[in-house]
This record gives sequence, C-alpha cells and structure tokens, in this order.
Amino acid sequence: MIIRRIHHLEDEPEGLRWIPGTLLNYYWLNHPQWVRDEGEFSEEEEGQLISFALYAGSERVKVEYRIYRNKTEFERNFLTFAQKGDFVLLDVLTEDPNGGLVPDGLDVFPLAEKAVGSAAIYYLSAYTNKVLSDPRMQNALPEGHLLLKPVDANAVVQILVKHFRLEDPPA
Amino acid sequence: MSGTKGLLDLLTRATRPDRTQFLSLTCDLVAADHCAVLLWLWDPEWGDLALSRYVCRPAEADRDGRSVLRRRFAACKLGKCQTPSSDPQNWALTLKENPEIQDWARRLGCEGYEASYPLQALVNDQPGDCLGFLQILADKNPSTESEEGIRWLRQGLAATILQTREQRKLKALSSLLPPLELTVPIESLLTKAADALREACRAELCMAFLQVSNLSFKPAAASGPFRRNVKKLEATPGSLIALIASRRKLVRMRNFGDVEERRRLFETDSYDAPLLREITGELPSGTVRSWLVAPVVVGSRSIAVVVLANKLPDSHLAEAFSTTDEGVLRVVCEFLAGVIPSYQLYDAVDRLSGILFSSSLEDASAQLFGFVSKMIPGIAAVALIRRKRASLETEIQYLGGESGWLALATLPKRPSQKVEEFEVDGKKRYFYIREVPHLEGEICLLAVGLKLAHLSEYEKKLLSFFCKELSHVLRASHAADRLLENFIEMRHAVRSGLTGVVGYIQEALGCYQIYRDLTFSPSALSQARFRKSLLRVALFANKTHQLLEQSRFLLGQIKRDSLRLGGTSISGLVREVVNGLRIAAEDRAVTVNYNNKMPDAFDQVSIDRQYIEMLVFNLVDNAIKYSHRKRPVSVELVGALSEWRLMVTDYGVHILENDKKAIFQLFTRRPTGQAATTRPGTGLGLAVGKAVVEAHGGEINVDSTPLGDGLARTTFFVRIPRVLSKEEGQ
Repeated sequence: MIIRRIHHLEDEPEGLRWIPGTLLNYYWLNHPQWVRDEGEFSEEEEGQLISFALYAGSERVKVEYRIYRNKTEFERNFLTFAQKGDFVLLDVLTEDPNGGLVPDGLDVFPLAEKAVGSAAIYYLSAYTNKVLSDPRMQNALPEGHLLLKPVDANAVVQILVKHFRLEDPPA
Repeated sequence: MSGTKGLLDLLTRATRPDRTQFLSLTCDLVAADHCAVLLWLWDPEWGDLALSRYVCRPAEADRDGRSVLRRRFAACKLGKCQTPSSDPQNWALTLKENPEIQDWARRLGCEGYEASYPLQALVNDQPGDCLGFLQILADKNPSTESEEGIRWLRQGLAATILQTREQRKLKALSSLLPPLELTVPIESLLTKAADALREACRAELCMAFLQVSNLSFKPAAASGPFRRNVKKLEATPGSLIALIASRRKLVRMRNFGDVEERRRLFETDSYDAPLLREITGELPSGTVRSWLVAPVVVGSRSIAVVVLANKLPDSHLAEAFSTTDEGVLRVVCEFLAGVIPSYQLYDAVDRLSGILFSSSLEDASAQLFGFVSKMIPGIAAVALIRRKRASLETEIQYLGGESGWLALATLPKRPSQKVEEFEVDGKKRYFYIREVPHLEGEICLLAVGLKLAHLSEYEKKLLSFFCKELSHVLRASHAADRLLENFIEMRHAVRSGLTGVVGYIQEALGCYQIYRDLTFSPSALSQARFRKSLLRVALFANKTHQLLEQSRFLLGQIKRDSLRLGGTSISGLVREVVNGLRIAAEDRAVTVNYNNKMPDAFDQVSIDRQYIEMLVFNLVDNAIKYSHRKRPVSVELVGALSEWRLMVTDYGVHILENDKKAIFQLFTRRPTGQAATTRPGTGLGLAVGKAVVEAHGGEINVDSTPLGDGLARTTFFVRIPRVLSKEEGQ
C-alpha cells in the first residue's frame, strides 16, 4: 500500500477540512475506477486525521490529511509521521496561549524542510507579508509556494495532485 | 503749628507717613527760623553712609546747596568722612566740620546748632541695628520739649524706613503675581521681573539669563534702554554669569573697572571680558559703575541669573545698590526659583508632547536626549532598559549621549532612589535609574548617566515627570500595536471564514458533480459528506456574517436608542442558532443540548432580533469552542412574565476569578495559559454581547467552577426584561 500524507499546521482547521474531501472528489471525477466504497472516507484521532483510499492500478493508495493545531503539536508529532514524499501545508500565524497571534509557522519551516524538502512545502496564510519579509524564507521557500487565504480550493487540489503524481504512468 | 501739635496730627491722621513728612515735622519741632534736617542711611554691607533726603526751613536749598550735598555724598563714598564706630550709641556725625557743609549751612543761615541722632527701630522692644542718622542744623538750640518730640519722631522714622524697605520687596513681588500664566513663555515672566526689579532698585539696566546647559546661559529678558540688543548676548561657561551661578550666591560690585575688586570677589580674572564689554556697551552711560548679580537657585543648581547694572542717580543719592536693593533682588530671585520649575514643567509637557506625538520613540530619541540634557545639565547618556514581563527578554534602547557610556547595558536592572556609582570599563560612572510607571507587559527603566554624583530633588522630579510622559507614549504605542494586532486578527478571522465558505462550497460542488456525471446513487456515507459540506458552508457564512456584524460595534456603541425592537419568539431564535452550530459541535465531538423551559405564554419578547441572535450565537459558539471534546454543552432558556433568562454551560476551560470581568472587555480573550485549550477568536464577541444585553436593560454574568483534571464547568447567565420599558437600557 502506498501512503500519501498531507501535514497541515493550522490553528483553525475547521475551516479547511474540505481539503481531503475536495481531493477525493477530484480523483473520483477523473478516475472513477480508483474509488471503491465511495472513497472509504474516514475521520480518526478525534478529527485530527482524515483519510481516504484509492486504487490506482494495482496499488492501494491511502491519502492521509493530518492536522497540527500549533507549533508545539507540530514539533512533537510531525517527525513521527512524516516521510519523504509527504506534503506540508503551513499556516503563518497561530494562536498564542495568552491570546494574540504569533508567527509560529515560520519557525517550523526548517523542521519540515529537513523531512520533506522545500519543494513539498506550501504556506497557506492570510499574511503573505510575514512570509515575504522573513529573511529565513527569502531563499528557502520556492517561488509560488505561498497561497493566500481565502484560497481557491481547485488550486490547492491541483498542487496536491501534481505533487502526489498518482496519475503518472508507472515507470 | 507747634511741633507737638504737628506730631499729634501726624500720629492721628497720617496712616502711612513717609520719610519727607518726618523730616518736615522735625523741622517744625526745632522751631528755629533757619533749620535743615538731613537723613543719612547707613549701609553696613558697603560700610558707608548715603544721603537719602533733606528738608530745609524756611527756604529750600538752592541748586548749589544740592550740588554741595552731592559732593559731600561722594566724599562719603570715598571714605573721607568719619564712619560710625561699632557701638551705634556712640555714633556721631560731624559733617559740619567739612568745609563744604559748613559753607552750605552758613548760606542757609543754620550754622548755630548741629546735632545728629542714630536711627534704630525697636525690634521686640529692643533697639535694632543702626539704620542711619538724623542730622539737624539750625540757627539756635531747640527747646527741651522739642527734644522729646524729636525722640518720638526718630523712632517713627526708623520704623518707617524698615517698613518702606519691606514694602519695596512686596511691591516688586506683587507686580509679578497677577496673572501667573504658565502657558506663556518663561521669558515673559522674566521680562516682568526685570521691569519690576529695575523700577524697585532704580537700576539703569536689568537682565535675566536662563541656563541652557551646564553653566551656559542665554539672555532671556532685559529691562532698560537698548534691551533689544542685550538679547544677542551669551554667557558661556567661565563668564561672570557662570561664575556667579556656580557659586550660588549674590555678588555686588561697585566698580567693574577695579581689577583688584574683581580679583577679590572672584579670585580669577578669567571671566568673559567680551561679555562684560558688550553689556557695558549696552548701557546708556557707556560705563559700568555698580553691579548687583544674584542667581536663581533651585536645589543645588542655578537655573537663572539676574543682573542689575548701575544705580540711577535719582532722589536717592546713593551710587551703589543698597542693602535694601539686595533684599529686593533676593526675594524676587527666590520667587523666580519657586515659579520657574513650574514654567519649565509646563514647557516640558508642551515640548515632550510635541516631540513624542509627532514621531515614534525611535525617531524622537535624539530630540528626547536633547530635551533631557537641556533640562538637567550634566547628563552624559540616557537609555531605556525594557524588559518583557512574560519572557524577561531585555532590550536597551539608547536615546542619546556619549558613546563611552554605552556600557549602560551592564547596569543593574532596578530603579535607584539616589544617584549610584558604578565601575564601568574601569571608570567611575554615576547613574540614576527610574521606572517608567503603569506599563503592562513590560518593565521599563529610564537610565540616566551623569557626570556628577548629584541630582537635586527638583531634577529628580523632572525625571519623574519625564518618565510619566514616556509612560503615556509607550502605552499609546502599545495600544496602537494592539489595535494593529486586533485589526490583523479581524482580517485573519474574516479570511479564515471565507476560506471555509469557499472550500466547502467547492467540496459540495464536487460531490454534486460526481452524483450528476457518474450517475450513481450515493451511499449514506457520501450523502453525509455532501450534507456536512453544505452545513459547513452555512456555518462559515454565518460566522463571517456575525463577525462583520460585531465589527460594527467598533464604529459606535450599542445603545438603547439604536435598538430596532420587535416581538420575537425567543425560543425559536435560540433553536435556530443552536441548530446552525450543530455542525461546529459535531466537528469538535461536542453535543449541544437545548432545554427550552420557556412557557409559550411568555415566548414573545421585545428584542432587537439581530443583536440577540449575535449574542446567542457568540455564547453557544464560545461554549463549543472552549468545551473539551466529547463533553456536552447545555443551552437552557427559562422565562416569566417580567423577564427571560438564558444559561449556556460548557465543560472545558476554567475562567479565573480575575478574568471574569476582563473577558467582557473589548479585544480581551480567555487567557487559558494552556496551548492545547486555546481557541481562535477576535475578542469581540463577549464585549459586544455585554453591550447588547445592557442596551436591552439586562445583565450578563459568568460562573466557572473547576472540576479537576483541567476541567471546569462554565456557565454564562443572561437576564433580559421581556418588555423593554423607556427607562431600561439607557
């Protein structure tokens, strides 16, 4: 079984749970034969993990969408689940324990980069300036890897599809 | 009129007899055909006598007589007359022995009798210091009765002299008092003081210099001819003005041309000769004969210096300033010392406001340093030591000063009550550290590096004031930062809401396309996902709508007058809100139980539906947001004829006692201190909710009870009258 993972650091994940559903819809519409049992769409770990299954050719592919609500959670759990080939979505600002927003998302970039490489990291944020003005990001983040909220869901799906390369003919 | 009768008349009618009246009366008492009475004033500081005035009978002295007396006066100045002995009772004048006085007395026909009487006022029934002499020249001896009258007159005259001296001080001061306007420049006050002093001391020129830096002065005011030209003068360190300021005591000089006298007074001749020449050039006479210079001393520092130049040759025949002139100058300087700090403080308010509110603290640093170092000479460096209370992260922010003092960073981070000495880079340094008060989130200290080991109380007060002003600015800066942060959070919340709306619409659209294009009957699972997507669209649309509605609160307060009241089924409204939030509860594995106990008879209430919907939405949304997973949220509605009540209870984050008021303030959120339990928000909801409840004449409270293991039961209570009367909600 092939596993494709999306790791998402996001302090308000309730507004972004459409990502796995929209991705499933894409594959379902374009490759109906890949979908059995209507996607085997499920939510686990108190909603932190959403997954669905695809059958691309002879391979069973499990797509996992994992949520991290803050920097601490990300730093604690990310490396446990992350592997090469995974995809990482990062929010810039997350909620501070005392209220207020802190740019935690920028701090975890090196950790994510080490695990999956910068080509597989995208920022999804309302604060593009925070990313653009941060010296750590200027050379590290590839061009175009910054998505502004409210984001076009189809654009996100296209990026994910391109990254997972499930449609590519087998080598 | 006999002398005795005149004395009685004087004592009964004249409330404030002047010196001339006393002299005339003395003439009357002597009862000679030819009589002259002279009043000589003794100046113990100068050690000489000055002829104050004289009266002759029957004829006034002619022009020659006056000139002779002037010459006689000049002779006294040169020490050619006998000066009194140390015992005033034995003093005697023998001026008639002087050939010029003899000639003068002969021409007046009053050469037969001469007597002189010391003048002493009674102080606590004891004779005080000798004030001067009353000299009588007459053609014959006065009677015994007259002698007795003259004794009384001497006492009266002495008392009048003292009274007149005090009145001169009061007159000079009274001209300065009304109105004391701190809003006008300090130069205006000094100009008034210069005018008053010049008038009171009969000076040719009066100047006032204000300190601009350590022992450097600028002319701030002048009174007398050519005073405009005086403005261009400067008194640099080392000048006469600076020397007097550093000595902090009054200095008198009879003749500036006398080098020996200068050396005796200053033990140096390094004072600013060009300044002296310039001042001398300003005087109409072109020469400086006598000077009286006094510093205005506050604490240990001279903040100004006042100069009186040349006594005018008026009715008083003295050439040098008298002890009384000194007294007048002293009281005026003391008055200025009491008032100038207030002017400087007011000016400080004005200037600091100008500096701090026209730019950021960083941009204004240089100006601030200039301001402080000007107000307090001897300052070498000024810095702010700022430490965040939460992280204890410390930052040194230099406002200015000498680079050698940059070791401020090594200072202890605590306020000091007095100037303290530290060893920095092997050198002795003096510092005064004061806290900038009333700051939230940070401890800020003002560190002042000093060249001297002393600060006066006045200077400490100035620094205290400076800190208070800085506090305003830093608080305003914090508030501005907070506003910007709040704006960012609002923007964040709106964008997040729109992200949800757009994303779930596309997910639902995708589901629809699959059903349409692939023409199959979806299972319950797929249908549930489709339904959830649509519910989430509705939820995020509603959240965004509520947020935008709440943000209207920032544009104006919610008041009774702004409510659009109408009859509404309150139970129906609460049900709609609860149902709309069920998907949010489902996402957090929270169950929402709505317990409607509202009797049908009272269900119709008078409310602004839009606002109350916002209130209920906020309370239930918060309860879901802050509840622990898999815990119930209960919403209970009860009511009676007079009012309806809503209780929303969750099992989640504990609200500390201290936070129960704060959470109803704008942009304040529940600080849980536990990252795992924090939930996003804007800090608007409860503040707006409270305003809505109060506009409806009701009240909102919260109760939070810890249940252990980080769990607490929290209930928000809302009570609102069913029908809003005119008085309620005002």
